[in-house]
Amino acid sequence: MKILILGSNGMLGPHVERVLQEDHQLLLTDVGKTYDGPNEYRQLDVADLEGVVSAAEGVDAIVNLSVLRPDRKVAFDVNSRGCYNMMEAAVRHGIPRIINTGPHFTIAGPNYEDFEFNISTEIPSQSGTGLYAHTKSLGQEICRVYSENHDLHVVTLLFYNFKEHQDHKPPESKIDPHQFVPFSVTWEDAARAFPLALEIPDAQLPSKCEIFNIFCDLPHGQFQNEKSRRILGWVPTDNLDQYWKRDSV
Amino acid sequence: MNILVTNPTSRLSREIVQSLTFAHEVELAAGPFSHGETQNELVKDVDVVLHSLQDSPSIDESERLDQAMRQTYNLLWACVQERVSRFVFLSSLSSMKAYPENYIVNEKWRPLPTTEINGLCFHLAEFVCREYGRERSIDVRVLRLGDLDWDGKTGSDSVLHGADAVNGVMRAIEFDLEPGSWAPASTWNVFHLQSGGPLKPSRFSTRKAEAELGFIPEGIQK
Repeated sequence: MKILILGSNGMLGPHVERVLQEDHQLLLTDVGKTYDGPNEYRQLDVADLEGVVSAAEGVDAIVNLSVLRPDRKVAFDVNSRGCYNMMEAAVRHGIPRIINTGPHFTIAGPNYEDFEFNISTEIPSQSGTGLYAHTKSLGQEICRVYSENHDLHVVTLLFYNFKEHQDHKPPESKIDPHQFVPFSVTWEDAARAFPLALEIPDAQLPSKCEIFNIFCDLPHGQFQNEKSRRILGWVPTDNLDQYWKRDSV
Repeated sequence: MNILVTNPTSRLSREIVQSLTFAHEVELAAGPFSHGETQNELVKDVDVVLHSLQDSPSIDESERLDQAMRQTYNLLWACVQERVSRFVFLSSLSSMKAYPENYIVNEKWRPLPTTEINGLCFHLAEFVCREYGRERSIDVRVLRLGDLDWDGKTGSDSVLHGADAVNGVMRAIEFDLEPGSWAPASTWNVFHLQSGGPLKPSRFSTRKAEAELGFIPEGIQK
């Protein structure tokens, strides 16, 4: 499969590149000029419609890792219009599989997170008006509308907090369990969701636009990741228990 | 009231301003609506903002999307900061047209937007408005307008005559909604506006606008 990755130079990009490059041909893109690696790379601003359409020619799937948080203009350009450009490119080239990404509050904003537990992805989107959440939520809504009107499938992977794998975990003195977010995952486990999202047959997806919470198995019970395991077959390997469990009682 | 109306290139905006000026202080403002102090200054001491999207062939799809999402967000952000009490957004009934014509579609039906750029922009701007309405810091009203007709020549099945549009928008600007018997008035309200008559009934139900805003389209016999 030839896969276009948008925003490949971000924090998650190299991990995703690593798990996909053995079995797939990758075209990596980002706003940065430079890339030091074995795959094809093109400088591309996801807010550039014609640029995204051009980069998507001949690919079988698009993975969107692009994200911009603090600047209001660029946040809308990247997080919202970037999704429009990606979906337009998919329609124009007949690309059947899109992997979108975002933070958990793309769907479950403060109205959920501040009040609720056992939060799944099967809920109406309520991002709130925070810039990052809201612009990502608009992008997801664009993906949803395109999936309802065109012959393509969108799989959205939601993340929140990333941690280092246990082999690289910080010393115990640096770990503060009270700062731990119960929607955390290691970079490596997060990346392992991408091949599954790309390769799952259409018929095994309940709809043309499906959202999955990607975080490790945690006892907090605030969010659910059961659907990711059941449908994608994603199984986290690290439960990050050093962040939420005492060594001894 | 002090009222700010956007989109001076729109005939509807201009007609509404003309009607409002008899009883209110009205300012017509063109975008683009950025963020920052100038935006806050624009809505300072304003009671109601009436916002509509430009419909000009000279605007490309990226600009349309920017106007629908970012600029609507910026306006609402400024309105909340400056304590503007009401925000009325002019949307479109286009997102409801995918339902069969014999269905009695009202505001409780889920919008089914297509990816046609104008309809998509209306839908996305509503999406922005809804999050602000949900936070209860400003009274947000969305008016989904039928196909505007100023000269009686539109053959649409969801036509909205210019006079009816002006009448409906004026009511949305001026009317305080009655609280329910068990809850305060919602800060998120959608109303469908279209014309009709005995010979050509409305495709979309306007019952809510009639009951809550007193909207009476021409040709409807009471």
